[in-house]
Amino acid sequence: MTSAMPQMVDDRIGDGVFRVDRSVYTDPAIFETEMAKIFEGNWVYLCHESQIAKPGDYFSTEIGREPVFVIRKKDGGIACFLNACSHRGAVLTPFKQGNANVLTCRFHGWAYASDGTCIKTKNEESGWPAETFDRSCFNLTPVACVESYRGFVYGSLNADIAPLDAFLGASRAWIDLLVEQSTEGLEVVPGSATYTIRGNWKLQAENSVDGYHVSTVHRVFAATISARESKAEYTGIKKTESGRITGSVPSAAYDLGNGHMAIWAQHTTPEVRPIWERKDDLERRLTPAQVKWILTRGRNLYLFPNMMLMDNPSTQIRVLKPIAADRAEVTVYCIAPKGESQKARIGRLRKFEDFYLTTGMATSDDVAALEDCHDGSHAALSRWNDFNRGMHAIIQGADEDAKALGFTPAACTHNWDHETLFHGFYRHWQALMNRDVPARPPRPGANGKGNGSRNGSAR
Amino acid sequence: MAGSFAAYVDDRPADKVFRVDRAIYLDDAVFAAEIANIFEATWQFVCHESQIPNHGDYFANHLGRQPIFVMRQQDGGIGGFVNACAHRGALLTPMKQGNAKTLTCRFHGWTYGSDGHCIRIKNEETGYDPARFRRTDYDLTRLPRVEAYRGFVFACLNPAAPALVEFLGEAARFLEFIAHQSADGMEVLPGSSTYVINGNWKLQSENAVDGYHVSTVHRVFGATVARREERPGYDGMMRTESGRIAGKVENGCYDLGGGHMVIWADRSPPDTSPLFEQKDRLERDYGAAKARWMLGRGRNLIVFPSLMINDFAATQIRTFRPIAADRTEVTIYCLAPRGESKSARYARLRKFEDFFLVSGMATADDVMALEDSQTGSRGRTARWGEFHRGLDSVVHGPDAAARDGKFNPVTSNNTWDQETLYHGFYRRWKALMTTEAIGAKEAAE
Ligand code: FES
Ligand code: FES
Ligand SMILES: [Fe+2]
Ligand SMILES: [Fe+2]
Repeated sequence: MTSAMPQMVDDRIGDGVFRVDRSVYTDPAIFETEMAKIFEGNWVYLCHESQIAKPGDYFSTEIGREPVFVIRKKDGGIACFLNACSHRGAVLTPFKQGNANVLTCRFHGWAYASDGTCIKTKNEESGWPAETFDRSCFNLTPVACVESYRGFVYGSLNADIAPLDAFLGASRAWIDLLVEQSTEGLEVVPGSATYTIRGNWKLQAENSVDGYHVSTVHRVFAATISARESKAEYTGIKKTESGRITGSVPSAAYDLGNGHMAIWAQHTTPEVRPIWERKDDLERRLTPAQVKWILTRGRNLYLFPNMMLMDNPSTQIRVLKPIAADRAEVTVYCIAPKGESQKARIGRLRKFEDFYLTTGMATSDDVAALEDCHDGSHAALSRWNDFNRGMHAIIQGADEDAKALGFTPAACTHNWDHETLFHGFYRHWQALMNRDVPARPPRPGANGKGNGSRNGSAR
Repeated sequence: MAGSFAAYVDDRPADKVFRVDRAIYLDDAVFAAEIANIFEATWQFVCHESQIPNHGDYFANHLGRQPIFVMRQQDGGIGGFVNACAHRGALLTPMKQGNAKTLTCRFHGWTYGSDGHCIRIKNEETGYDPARFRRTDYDLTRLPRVEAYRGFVFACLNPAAPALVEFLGEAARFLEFIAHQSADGMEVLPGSSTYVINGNWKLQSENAVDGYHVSTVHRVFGATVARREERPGYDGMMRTESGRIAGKVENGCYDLGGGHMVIWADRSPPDTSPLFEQKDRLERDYGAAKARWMLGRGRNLIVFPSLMINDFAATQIRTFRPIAADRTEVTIYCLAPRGESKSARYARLRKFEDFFLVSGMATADDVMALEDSQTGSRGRTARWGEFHRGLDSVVHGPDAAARDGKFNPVTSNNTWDQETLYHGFYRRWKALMTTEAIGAKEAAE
């Protein structure tokens, strides 16, 4: 794909200017280019290994516009295939998750093994001349690359990309902070919640590491929680830290490179965190820096382009699925250290519900704010989104904290309400949008509705 | 691109042909060009001044796709702003209407004065280099143009647009017929109703001044109202004019130029109008001819492209917002003379409900007809929409009634069910669609 991409990012740090054209949120043609060049041209997060623990366990999702599923093979390896029957393209499994050693298509009954081999074509003998028929022509189409980083499974439709390790880069140290919380590893707790935002996916990406909105958008959450915690029965691990939400604690924001971003803020009362019970174990196994980050710093990590890993009052994987320029689907999972005490697990789940669930007290406020931004972005007369906040305070490369933990960010500032981390996100975004991706099969116009922009993005 | 839309209007007066390709109701590319060349380039109605009487009163609306609001200023003027925070673009007010001396963004709490100045940035001191920072860089973006004519507030994204009165042209006279109905001015009554039509906005513009459909689409309304009025208690102003609906009165239509259109019909009888109580004052202040237009004739006006002012059984402002080629959002308000008697107000409201509300007996039928037209237009093998009715009776320039009313239409026609007024609408449409738009983006530079 070599369509010309207009410059949407006005990156003039020397003049004190970093701004982004608001049509990046609203323009359907930009969305189609993002699908082709970002989501279908690079690594995207698929699932966590604990969701496909046993042979035959599968998890279905999308890479860009293409349905795929990840499956645990007999040999313990992980495979990922297009979720489309080789025969006439029916979705092979309509389920989000399941276990099957053989996947049988519901349309004409063709069957596939967990390694993608076509093992049965119904009425094969009466359908094709035996001497020329080669059933292996009908094996499932594998996704070009599948790799796992410490349990987090990624896939790419484009083979021409850097290894996953290099792609994750500095953000690996942040992922490790979660993985190291248990020697048995992490598990995604059963259950998930999916909701749709009437807004662009990048607004959700920004929001996940936007410390600046917390004291405004979540002030009602904070007030409610502190009122609740003044009641007698809310003690210990059940507590959420309202001091952190009002922003009166140390914090920082990191541009981790490759579009990844992160923020942290100090826990005012780290002993209320479910992980506190493992303090001794952590201190024995890990470096002092890791222990400090795990126990005392609430962290939001955004992994470009479609996953967020939160370790604040509770722990969360949030997966982002762009549907259209003005629609994004979000699915949230609670991820937890295996083997934690029942008490810790209950504290974690209740706090997960408080903040992250759509039925909770915070996420719906975030969604309202995002939708406000999406609607406001249609005002082309007011063209630019401003990301100047914190520009005077940028530290290039690793600060002392980063050195101690052992990662090298592109830049940081020591205030989570600074916006300079978004510079990394949008620079990476613009670079990918300007880059050509290898040609893939042409894609016809969407659903026959004659949406010109879709037709315009044929590759 | 722009040129390719010209063929959609087949305008050949010499051959007595005027037809419109039905693709104009369907095509996404046409719709996108309409947003750029019409809704984001010409004057659009925003609200009535009575909806923002006091300092800090604001009213939010859209110009094309762009969210905007107007706000009454401290000096009594009207400011117009983009409804998007200067920071990261959140809608500054998600409300349709309100009062606020300062508006605070719900996302990160930036605050703006009623004059659009940014007056507070949350944690400003820790966010920016004081040597470089100017809060005035973050004032709200002002709309290039905001003007009011006799209480009707319009805004325009095109800085080079002509003055509002010039844009209104002959339609201004019809706004005056409304505005002069009370010595104290007009007021929009509290409450509104919003509904979405699965059809193109131009079908709504056409419908607003389509006398021809009334005796068909609204025959049930006419019959119902006539029967009801046989019963005791329905007399005087409570009556609706079923004679008019049946088409038994004098009527006509005008192409006012600039795409503006109007139809009229005699009231039968005029004392059914809530305005009748002011007959003497109107005749004294404005003379018999103008009073006849204000009181004796019901009128539907389209101010191009999408403001409808209705003064028949009741008085209405109807505006519509194009959402997609096949989707239009309509909002209606009752507009009334300040200081009218309680019985007049009561009759006005009941008749407003009867006809105009979605829960009434007429609007639902109109919506059905529009949606039928939208669906039928997809039959592309039958390509053309016909606008030939009345070609033989059309009068160029004013007829007698127009001369009486002191306005100068492009054409007049002898009944309200002629279709020659649409020629003006579609000529204006074609003219705008075949010029390069002043894109709002360029205006923003
Ligand atoms: S489409 Fe799957 S067997 Fe026919
Ligand atoms: S978007 Fe309005 S304050 Fe940030
Ligand atoms: Fe939030
Ligand atoms: Fe009608």
